[in-house]
Amino acid sequence: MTHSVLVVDDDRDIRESMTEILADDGYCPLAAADGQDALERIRGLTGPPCLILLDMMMPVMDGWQFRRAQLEDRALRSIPIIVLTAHADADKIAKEVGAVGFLRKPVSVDALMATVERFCPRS
Amino acid sequence: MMGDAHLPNAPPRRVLIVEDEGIVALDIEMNLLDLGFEVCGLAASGPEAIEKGSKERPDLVLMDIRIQGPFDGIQTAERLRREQDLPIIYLTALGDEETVRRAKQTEPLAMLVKPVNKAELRSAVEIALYKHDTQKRLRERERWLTTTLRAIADAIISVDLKQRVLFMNPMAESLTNVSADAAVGRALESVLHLVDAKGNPLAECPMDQALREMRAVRIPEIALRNPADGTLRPTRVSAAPVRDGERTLGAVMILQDISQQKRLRLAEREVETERMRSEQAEAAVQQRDEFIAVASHELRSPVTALQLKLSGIRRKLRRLSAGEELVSRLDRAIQHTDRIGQLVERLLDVSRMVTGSLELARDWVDLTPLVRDVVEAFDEQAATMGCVVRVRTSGEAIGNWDGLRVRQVVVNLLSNALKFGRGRPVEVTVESGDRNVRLTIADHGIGISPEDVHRIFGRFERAASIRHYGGMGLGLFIARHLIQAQGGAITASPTPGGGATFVVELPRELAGTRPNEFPGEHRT
Repeated sequence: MTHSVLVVDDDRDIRESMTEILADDGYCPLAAADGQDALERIRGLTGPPCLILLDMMMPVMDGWQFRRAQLEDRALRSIPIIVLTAHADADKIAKEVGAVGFLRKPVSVDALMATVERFCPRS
Repeated sequence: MMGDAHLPNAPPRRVLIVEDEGIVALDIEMNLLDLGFEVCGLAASGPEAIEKGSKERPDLVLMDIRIQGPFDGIQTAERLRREQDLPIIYLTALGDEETVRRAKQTEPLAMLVKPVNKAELRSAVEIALYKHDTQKRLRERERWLTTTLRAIADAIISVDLKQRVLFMNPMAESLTNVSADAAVGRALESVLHLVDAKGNPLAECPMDQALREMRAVRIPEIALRNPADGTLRPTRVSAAPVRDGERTLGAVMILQDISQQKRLRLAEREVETERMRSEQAEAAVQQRDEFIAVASHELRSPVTALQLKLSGIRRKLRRLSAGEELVSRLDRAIQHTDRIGQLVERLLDVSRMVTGSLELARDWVDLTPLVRDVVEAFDEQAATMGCVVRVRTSGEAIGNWDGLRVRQVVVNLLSNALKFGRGRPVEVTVESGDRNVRLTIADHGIGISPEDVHRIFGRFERAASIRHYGGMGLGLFIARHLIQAQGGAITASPTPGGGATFVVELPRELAGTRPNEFPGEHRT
């Protein structure tokens, strides 16, 4: 299992901050600006990431569309998803798209790292 | 064409003959019938003539001056003329000078000397009928004209060439405060006091101008001064010369009181100004709301990124075992950023509330531990302010609410109580009823005046001075909205002995929520 974590968010600053923190903690972070970008990123990898942090509201291809495309792809289907959302019904959205969990925006570093550690335990 | 008797299809004109000599009467009747007239009656005396006149309504009466009975022909004719408006032609005997003189005073239409020949009779009857018809039409027209002029809502005054008043209708009487009887014959300037709109004398009276220029003159606004008290009445005036062919007879002026119109126009303008002002205010509020929506939305991402970045740096510093002082300074920076984040979230909430896009995530929530948790989170702040927060609860207080939003309300109310509580104790009570749960937060601080009690729940409203107490004035607005959105109510009242008390009542569930879910294993 790799320690790569994919952050999919259309906000560059948030994407950058999250990948920085993940890198600091020894993960191998990857970033994508939308669903389309994310699909291309993963397909270019030799091994799949251990977790995808997925913003739902994005241009080009949003979180729901990405999730459908991911589930249709045998190779990508099993990568767990954490939904990033500011929505009040974050838990419902997570359930709806079959995510393993959700992080409510604005995301706190502690919650972020605790979640990532749960799915990508460091050896 | 004189009489109508010769017009084809017209009914023959009807004549009453008053003559006590049968032969003469018969002769006249034969002649009239020959000439195409109808004889509608023969009378031999005055009373008989009057009776037949009123019954038959003849077009003309041929009246012998000397008849039998209590009064003679002249007296009878006078009554017929006066009472029944019948035209009269007298029949007299030759040489009766005195009678002829008396008869003339009754304005007969013609006099015929007996014996009457057919040609004379014809021309006399036709001329008489024509004259009478013309006079009648003239009288009717005059009456119609006078009635019309009297009925017109505008004031009408006519003058002769020397500017003496000839006619004034009732509206002119009321406008000038002078009766027509008193005005007729007087100089116009002594009846009508026209000045300009500001009360200054006119360079020229509109009547003079109309007569000088020989055309109609219109002045949209002029004033009529009341000589008694000097008040001005705004008036619209038009004046025109009165001409008969080439001859100028005088002038006529129409005056229209426009004070009512001016008042209306002024009122309309005020309404319009008021409407524009309120539209501008509405637009300003809308602009403000739009600005807040855009600004808070735009601020959110960089603030979140900043929070993440600072937290990340702190993690790294700890790992690098950086000095405690550096970490503590960074902690302060993170606190400041968190506060900015909270303010941005508040503004975003307000925008969502204004646009109705705020969404609630309901679940079964127990208010008792929620309140205790919030109070605990404020422990440090309360201790710093030397304020004791007492919590009184009575077991579970469960309801179907958005827990995060209820928490937000408790935070807002408690931070208000501490902020305005002057360091005195704050009492927090949670009571649980059958259908409702009640949260009371009472402080003993600066309090709220009764007139501010409702206002403080408005947007950007505050009861305390902004100089001594900061804040955006959104906490209570948000609290009220969040409570109302969950079917509850929030009220403010003075705490006995000073301070403010806020009471939140929340229904355990909205109508329509399934009661069998209550309470049970769904609680988280």
